[in-house]
Amino acid sequence: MPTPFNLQIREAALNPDSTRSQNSAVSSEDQHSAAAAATRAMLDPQFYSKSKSDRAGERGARPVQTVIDLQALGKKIKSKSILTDVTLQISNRVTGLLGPNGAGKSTLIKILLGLVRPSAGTGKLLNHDIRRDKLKIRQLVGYTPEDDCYIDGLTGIEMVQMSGQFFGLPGREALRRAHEVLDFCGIKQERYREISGYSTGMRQQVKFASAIVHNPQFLILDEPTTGLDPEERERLLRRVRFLNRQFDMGVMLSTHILPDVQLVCDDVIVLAEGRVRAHQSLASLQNVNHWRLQILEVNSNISTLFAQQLRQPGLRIEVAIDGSWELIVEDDARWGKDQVAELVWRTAAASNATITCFSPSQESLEAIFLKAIGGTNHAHS
Amino acid sequence: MPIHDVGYRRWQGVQSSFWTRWVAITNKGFEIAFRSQWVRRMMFLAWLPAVYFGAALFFFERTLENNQIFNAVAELNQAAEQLEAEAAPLINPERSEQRRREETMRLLSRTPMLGGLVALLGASGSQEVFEAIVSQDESRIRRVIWSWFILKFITTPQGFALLLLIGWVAPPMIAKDLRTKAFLLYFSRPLSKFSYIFGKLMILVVLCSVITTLPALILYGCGIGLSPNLTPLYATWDVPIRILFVGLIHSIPASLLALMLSSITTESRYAMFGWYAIWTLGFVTWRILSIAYLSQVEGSGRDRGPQFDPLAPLALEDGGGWVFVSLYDSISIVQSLVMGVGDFHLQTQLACLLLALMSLGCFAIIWRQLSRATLG
Repeated sequence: MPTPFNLQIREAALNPDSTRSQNSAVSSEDQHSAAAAATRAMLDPQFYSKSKSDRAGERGARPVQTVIDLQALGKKIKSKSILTDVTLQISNRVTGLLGPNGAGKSTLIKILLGLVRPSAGTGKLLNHDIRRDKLKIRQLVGYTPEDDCYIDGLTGIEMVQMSGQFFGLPGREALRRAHEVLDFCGIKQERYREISGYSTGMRQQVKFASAIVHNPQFLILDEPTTGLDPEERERLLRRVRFLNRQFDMGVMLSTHILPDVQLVCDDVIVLAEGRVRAHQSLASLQNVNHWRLQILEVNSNISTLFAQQLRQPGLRIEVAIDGSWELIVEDDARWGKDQVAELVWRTAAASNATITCFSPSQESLEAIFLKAIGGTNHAHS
Repeated sequence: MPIHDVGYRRWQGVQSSFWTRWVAITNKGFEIAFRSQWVRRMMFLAWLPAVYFGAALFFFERTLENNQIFNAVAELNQAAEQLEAEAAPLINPERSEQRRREETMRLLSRTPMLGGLVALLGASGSQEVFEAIVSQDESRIRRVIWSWFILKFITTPQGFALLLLIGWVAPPMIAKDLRTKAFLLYFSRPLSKFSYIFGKLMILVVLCSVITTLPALILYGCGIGLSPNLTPLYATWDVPIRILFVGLIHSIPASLLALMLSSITTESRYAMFGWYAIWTLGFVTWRILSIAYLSQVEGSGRDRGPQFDPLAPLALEDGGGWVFVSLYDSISIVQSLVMGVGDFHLQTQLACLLLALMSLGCFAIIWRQLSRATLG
């Protein structure tokens, strides 16, 4: 049973608007305690394990703004197209960027950061032109590179401090802030050791700390969970979600790990061969449009008859690996939940089939991903 | 567990300008360089020659104070005139001026204080030093000798110390960033490539200043401070400004060269090898060319061989076109010009051109390497 105190801090964590209004109105001490309470609430496992509908409810209270606006963006290197006609609007939610190797994810990120110049198209990040306002964009964005990179000779705390100084924090302030974010990222005394002696996971944590030291408005994470053990991975994703919910920090998460996307992302973009193959909210991508159907196999004629009668325009039947049938709705407008149920029961009665299981099932993100990249070279390989 | 954990908070302080972000690179780089015990030892040893030059400065002022210099010069003038009258029919008129200078300097060396001082300064081949001494103008002598004195201090002991130090500190600077892919961490921040290069360059410039400019300024300050009156200050007021420029002439091209070598490899030992090879080969080649030239010039009827003096080629008005083979000598020649004891002749023009082109070329290569590394 949660105590009243727990309820209070949970409230602080789940109601960002109230926390934000406190931040602006009350004294700095109150501000600190509110943030501390929110941090503790974040560490509450229940916060992370809430259902998607709960999370949607949280999001519902906050305005969704377009942070990235790309129009027909393209990039060619020596006549080879890396990105083609990329048109995207990315909001201040957590957006997963998915794609096979060589899909153009890293190039897209580098274009956003002004490290690579696009060959065609235009784009804005936080209302700044990606071609002209490179330094302004980098000032507002936090980025963790995919590679195992670090500045040799520095300790963890020095690297985060230096990163803060690059973002314009004065030396002492950068040091204070570095300690703060390393506390947040769970790096304890190891912060005084040289980074070259860190494990890959610890370097990832320090890179993450370096990216958020200046309180960015938008966070770009390129494979942030690579090299992390399951516990660290979960903590990192929890932090990402916390920053998005509590501090309204838009996040773009580029990853190969689909469960990461499923856990934290609100929206998903699938890139393949330099083109956007899908861009939707995760919830709408995973709409219930699949039905799992299992019948008692008494007589094969009955099964055949049942299957024949179920074949209707806008519906498709596939046999799953476990032998059960997948009834896939291809025409949502025609086949609503009730219509499907009615058809199934009616057909079963007509063909004397005994149904042992009939339940809605969600399409896995993996299936969505494979479908989205279907037809590309990656899908074939 | 932390005793007091305030968690993540917003930060809304005043940001520094984009144009000062390089300071973080310089500060941290300097700090990292100083963590090496070898660097600290080298820095300490690099200051020792200042004691030697300090003593020499003291002796020079004593010589001037005792009027030894003027007595010697009067005697010299007499001897030189006599020599000229006797030798005029025997020697080539084109070389009479050079012979006169050589003889004057030979006579100079007989006077204990002044001769020792001239030898110490290595100024025997300098037209400026000769003319200043012969002029008997105390103010001019002081300005020229002080300038020579500090120039020798910067170019000879400090110049070599600087080569060793940069060769130790600079090679890993960019090579390590390449190896650890740190560029993505630098350039995904609001930091331009120019700021990065400038920040790295300033680490070396500051290190160079600590072992060349700073001790030279302190030497000058001690000289002025120990003077019985302010006359030396009036005569040499411009020397500190010249010292600053002389220091930059040494540190900027050398540092850019070191950074360029560091940027073209991920293995700092190759960069270190390249650095020492460039300086050593250039220095040796130029010495061989200089000696060959002097042997040729002095071969006719001279009984003594050429003196091995690093700055001797400065006195050559022709035959110095090969100066660009040696970076060390090119820098020394330009430094002598800035210090006010050299002429803007062919050698100097070539040396200036070499340093300018080399610096620009090195900067362009570093820029290109950074662009390539960032693109991945």
